[in-house]
Amino acid sequence: MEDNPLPALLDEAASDAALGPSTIDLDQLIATGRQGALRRRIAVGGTLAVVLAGVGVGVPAMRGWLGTPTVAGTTTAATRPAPNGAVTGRPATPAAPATPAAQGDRALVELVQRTIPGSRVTLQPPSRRSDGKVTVVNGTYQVDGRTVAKITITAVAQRPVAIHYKRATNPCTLPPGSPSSRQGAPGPASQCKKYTLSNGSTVWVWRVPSGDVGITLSTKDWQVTNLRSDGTWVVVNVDKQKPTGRPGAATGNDTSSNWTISESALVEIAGSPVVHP
Amino acid sequence: MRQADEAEFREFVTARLPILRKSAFLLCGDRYLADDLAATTILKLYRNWRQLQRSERPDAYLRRVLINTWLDELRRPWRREQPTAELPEPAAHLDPEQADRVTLLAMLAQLPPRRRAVIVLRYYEGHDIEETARILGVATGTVKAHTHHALAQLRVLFEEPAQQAGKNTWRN
Repeated sequence: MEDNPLPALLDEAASDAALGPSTIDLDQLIATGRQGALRRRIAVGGTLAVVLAGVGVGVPAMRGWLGTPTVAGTTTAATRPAPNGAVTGRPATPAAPATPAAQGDRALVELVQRTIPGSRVTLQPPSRRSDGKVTVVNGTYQVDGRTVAKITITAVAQRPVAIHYKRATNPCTLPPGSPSSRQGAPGPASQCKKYTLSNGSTVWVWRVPSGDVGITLSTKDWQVTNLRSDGTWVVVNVDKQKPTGRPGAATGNDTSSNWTISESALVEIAGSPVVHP
Repeated sequence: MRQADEAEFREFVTARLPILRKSAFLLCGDRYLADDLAATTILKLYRNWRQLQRSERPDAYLRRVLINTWLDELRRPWRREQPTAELPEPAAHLDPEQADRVTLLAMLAQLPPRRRAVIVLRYYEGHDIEETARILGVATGTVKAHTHHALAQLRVLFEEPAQQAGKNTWRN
């Protein structure tokens, strides 16, 4: 009977010599895990405090509505978010002095709304995952009050083992063995353009074709990436909402002339230091 | 995590780290990404250590986390920005053993992810069909089908050179 050589071949392929020395620092990983656990506890505590505060405000307000005189609850309307959850302006009531972190968050919202007129964006609460990925901003791009695209900004913090992501390369160039046009990979119709910022970092703009139409001048599906010198990845996505029933809408191509999102705006966002994980 | 739990976690991971890195390497074919995958898997384990302690099959759980981490990595849009920190060695500089290794990794890379996972779990880690099915969360019939198709695909890729070298052919 013939032996199956596959296990031996796999053993050889994954030998210590092939793999090289480990770059994994278990102590560092455990320290990262501890920090993550601490953050989660703080987040849970904060949520609990908000819920309790909400109960403290809401119950007296309900009593007032039922006829019991009370002054509590009068601020609930002022702090209620906009119907679409967007941060669209200054709060209705005077707020406490902003912390540096809050000022940074505000600066990010203002950056997006300045560079993309018509955008309505919401900062995401911290949702740090174990791999360091954080969605910083979720938002929409609206034309004539109608949402036509989704805007997402994601930051990937430097990983505990930050060897893999070393330098920015052309997103249209697939790594060896990666199938073209599958699992969201770029295909022959993708277009990538390189921008070099004044600080020397490279921003790549990838225009994503969809459907049979391919890329046209009005294609509005983008992914813009920036690898910073500190190892942080910033990814800005603009995804056309589909379908809306208009010609070209389902293909990522916009047929209206009202779009004001430009590549340079997305490059500015991806390259801005106010985006951070 | 309590200190005793942490010591237990450290012991568990230290014992399995070599095989974890090697399995990750066979899955992704890149030593740096393999370390990234192993590191991410360890962090996820740390986060879910209590769940793992309650698990009847902690090793199966570990494999499942690793494979899910790798599949997540494949789905990431920025995986395309993964650079090659080291350029592949030119073929002329490879000794025959290295060439075999590179060839096998290249062939594994051509398999769809689930089939690659089945090959690694069954033929590298030595799990039987039932355990492989449990790890992947699929039916045993699916594992058999993946195995059959993966071996057929590898055979096509490998058989001719193997026959030329007088090696054995593969079977299920």
